[in-house]
Amino acid sequence: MAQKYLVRLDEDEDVSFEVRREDGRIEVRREDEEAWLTCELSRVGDSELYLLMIDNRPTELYLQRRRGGAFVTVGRHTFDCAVGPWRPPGQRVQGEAAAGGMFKVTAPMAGSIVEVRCRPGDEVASGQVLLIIESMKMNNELRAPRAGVVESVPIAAGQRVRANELLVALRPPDASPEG
Amino acid sequence: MFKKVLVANRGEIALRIVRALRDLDIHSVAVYSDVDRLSQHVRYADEAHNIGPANARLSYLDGDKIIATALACGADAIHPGYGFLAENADFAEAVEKAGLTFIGPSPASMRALGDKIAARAMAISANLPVVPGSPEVTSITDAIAIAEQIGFPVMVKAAAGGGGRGIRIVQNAGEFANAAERCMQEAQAAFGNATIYIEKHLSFVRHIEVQVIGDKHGNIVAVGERECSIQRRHQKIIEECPSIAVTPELRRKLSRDAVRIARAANYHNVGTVEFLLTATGEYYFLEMNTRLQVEHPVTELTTGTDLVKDQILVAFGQELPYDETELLTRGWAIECRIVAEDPFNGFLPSVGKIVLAREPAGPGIRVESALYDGIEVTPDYDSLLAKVTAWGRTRDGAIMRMRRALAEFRVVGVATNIPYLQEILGMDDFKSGNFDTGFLDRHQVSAVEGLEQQKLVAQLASLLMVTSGDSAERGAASNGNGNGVLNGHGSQKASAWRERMSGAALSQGAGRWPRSI
Repeated sequence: MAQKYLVRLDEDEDVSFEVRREDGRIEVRREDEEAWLTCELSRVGDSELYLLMIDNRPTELYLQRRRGGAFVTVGRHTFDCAVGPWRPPGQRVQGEAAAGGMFKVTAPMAGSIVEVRCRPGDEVASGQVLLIIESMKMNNELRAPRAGVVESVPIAAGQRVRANELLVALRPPDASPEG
Repeated sequence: MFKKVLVANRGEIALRIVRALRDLDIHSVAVYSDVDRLSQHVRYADEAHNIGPANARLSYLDGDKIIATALACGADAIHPGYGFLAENADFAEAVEKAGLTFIGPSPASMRALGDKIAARAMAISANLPVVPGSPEVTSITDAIAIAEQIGFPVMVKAAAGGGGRGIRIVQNAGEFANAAERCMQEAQAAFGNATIYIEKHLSFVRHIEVQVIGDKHGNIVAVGERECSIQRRHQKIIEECPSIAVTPELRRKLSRDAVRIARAANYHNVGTVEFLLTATGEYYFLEMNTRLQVEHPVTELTTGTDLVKDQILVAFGQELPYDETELLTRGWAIECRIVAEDPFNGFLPSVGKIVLAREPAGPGIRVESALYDGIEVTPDYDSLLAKVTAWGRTRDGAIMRMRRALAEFRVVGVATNIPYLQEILGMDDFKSGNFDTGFLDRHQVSAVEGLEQQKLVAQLASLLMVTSGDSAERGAASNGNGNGVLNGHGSQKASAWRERMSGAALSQGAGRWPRSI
């Protein structure tokens, strides 16, 4: 008798799976798929390296448990996967819309700001260079991920920044500033 | 022979030198900054000294501190590796003045060749072909006049530069002033010297370099060429030995020219003479690098030499153990530089903790790396993580082995350029050897990732992890650390066994376990 589960990827994408056990084997079927996949997950030694066999095809992955799920690194991505009992689609939580329509440009790595090429109020095009950050002896251009108006630039040239620190906040071109 | 040698570097090259010293039965001394305390070059050395904070200027670039450390620990010599102090003639001179041996060329040779303009003059007098270009300029109006005389397109370069920094290609007179100004600024910031020079920009050229090594008895040998045309933004990322573009006749000419300029500079130790090779077979002297190169392993694999060991021997005063006629090249070697840069995100440097590193191995593969599980990649140093070199009887064989090796390489925690390298190795023009230094700038090589399959793997793995039964959950709860076998059968037994054994280890002491450390 198969059990149904919901796997939520990166707090955004819900996919349901059926799981059944047959003669000590675990078989899994993804929603909208016909075929059952025979899967086996084993930890390699005491590391967080795991071997996932899908129909006898091996894949290595790096997995860290968390409550109700796991962080799974495969390829260059780390996916945050939450696993729960299946719920009907109406109750699924959709991905959150970006709060207030603001878009944040954050530091992709630790480094220091070499040059700031935008000021609050500037209208910027998608792909336009906003600032230059130096890390590992390299100057890197940070570009606007979308068109917009610069809302704030809470950093200045010469300043050191941590990874993920807010560098530039953008709002959509047509939205007016708050207040 | 030297009794004790200090290695004034870090990362893979420091480890490479420590290994060469061990092969020679010489006591090795590592130096390290605060963040490199646990590095492999420290752990594998016979002795190690902290020389300061992460900031290289206060540690790996602090020549006085390094010399003082060498004197205090009784070293006879200092090996600088590449980068940091390797091409600093003042440092080399200070080392010699302190009564130690600098494992590299003489300060005079370094000065003569390190100044690109003087090196060019030396090349001309040694009868080497050079690219049409200018002497040093500090004024933009002078520079424009020269550029017009040479004819556009031209390259603007920093006179004190290296590693491709500051270089700009200018297509016409209108763009020139702005480019020259920025080059000067960058040169001032990076090297403390705003002087630039101008060179004719040649299109469709290959970067071919010749390895030379000389001893202190006047013997200088050319040890084959390297093909370094695969560059991204003037940074080499794939190198080969030999080059598919070099015929035996051309190889003889390049080797003779390389030896001639080395002789003109009164050169000893290892050095590299760089040439540009045009599509029609003309070549020009570019510069001579007065140090061991990052890409030296490809030469070692095809010639069977150990350049690091040999440079220690000749620095001590021994004669070169071979001459040119005794060197036999065999097969083909390719090196890929693995760097912490994200090809899916504009090649931004990626920093953080590498939680898992598994290097490739197997037939024909050599890995130069100082990676270990838990290493922190910091913004303080350059982004080179490892070098993978593949050897094959043929070029195709070496490429296939390299593709296999890159597929085996696992790095978790920072982004690397491995997917990008894999794409390049699979391109028809790369496989047929049809490329020049502009290859990567012209071809928008994009790394492929197979996101949907990766998502499925992540979903299945987390599903199995969470639903693998109560036994796995209990096991995880009891040791807080996950569990061995996760899919039901045998997991309870396994965790019971683990608990019993770990209890035994605790009560009886870890000393009872057989170990090979």
